[in-house]
Amino acid sequence: MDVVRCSSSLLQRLSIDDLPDCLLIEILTQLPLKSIFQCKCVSRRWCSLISAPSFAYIVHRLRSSSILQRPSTLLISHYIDGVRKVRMTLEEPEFKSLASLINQYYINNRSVSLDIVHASCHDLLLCTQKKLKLFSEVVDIFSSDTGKWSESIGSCPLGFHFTDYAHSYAGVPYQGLLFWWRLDGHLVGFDPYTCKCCRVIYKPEELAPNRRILRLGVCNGALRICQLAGRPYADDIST
Amino acid sequence: AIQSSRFSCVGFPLAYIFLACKKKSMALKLKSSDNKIFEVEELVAVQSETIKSLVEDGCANNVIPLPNVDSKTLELVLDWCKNHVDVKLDEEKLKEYEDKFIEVDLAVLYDLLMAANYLNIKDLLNRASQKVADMLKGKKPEQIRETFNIVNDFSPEEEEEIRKENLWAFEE
Repeated sequence: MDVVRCSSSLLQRLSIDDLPDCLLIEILTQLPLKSIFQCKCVSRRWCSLISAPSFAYIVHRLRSSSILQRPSTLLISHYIDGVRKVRMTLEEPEFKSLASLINQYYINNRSVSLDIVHASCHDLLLCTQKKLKLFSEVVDIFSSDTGKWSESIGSCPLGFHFTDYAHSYAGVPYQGLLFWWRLDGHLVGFDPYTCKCCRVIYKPEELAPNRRILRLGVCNGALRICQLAGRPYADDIST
Repeated sequence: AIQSSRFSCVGFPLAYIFLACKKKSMALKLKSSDNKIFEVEELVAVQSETIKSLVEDGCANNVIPLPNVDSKTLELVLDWCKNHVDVKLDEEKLKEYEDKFIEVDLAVLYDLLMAANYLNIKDLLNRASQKVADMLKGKKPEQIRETFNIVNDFSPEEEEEIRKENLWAFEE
């Protein structure tokens, strides 16, 4: 009996939808990004496979090796002969906030002035393209491994928009997540690989109302925010 | 000169034992789902990580049953393995072989994928999925459904919605 069941391929040929998820993923991850997104329209199964954060993670891993093990790199933009360039330096924690200076970058030497740089983390620079109105999907990532920009997938949870956040400052990387503060004082942690794990830390009650968080940073192993309200305020939210 | 004199002293029995050992570990018997027995060299068979771990665990003395692979596919897979025993061999020739090997129809390709996955043969799995990906590339979703026989289970509204979300991917 076993033999008959197992050799079904002899009696009845397989179709691509008979392949297990792992094989379909193996195939789809080999496609160029554009084709991957087109394939979302093929069927429910394909759409959900491609939308899964683990899929984005595999694509990342295939395209740039061992990103996660590398230390973060500081990226600074500066002008040379009227052209804005992005420069990398080794990690210097006290200069991390400098990354917020970057608000422009170039893809293929073409200025994309409306793009927003959100953060640098683990050797990656995370940007979204305002023009395309696709904050939830297209994320450009700069890797200092390859020195190249690449388009990537960032499937964000519903209702999450980069623009809602204090976008003039870069996020702060902490425990594999990138943190921003919202204008209303809440903190949002975002994982560029498993975007569904977006984490919201509500602002502490004792935080002075009507005042914005002025600085966000990592100090003594905890994520701290600082609010200037007459007296300095620091809150430890390490868990 | 030293080597040759040493060899002449103990050469015969040593060589004999060596050959005997080698011969003993050389042939493995694999049984396909349709009960055909394939006798293959161990070097060829252990390119399958699945078989390799069986051999390492000492479970490969008798016939190794492969209930998920039919004889037609197994023959192809073993041919692939035979040609990949020594990958340092002429790279160009190997590529030529791979390109020719993978020129099969879809049904066979699926069988190869399933077998490569089950037997855990990385390079074959890569090559076969690359081949399918090449066939997907540049096709519109409708064409993909047609070529690969996939049922569109979206409602027209849902499909339109997803298309809208990913509009940039459809632009030339």
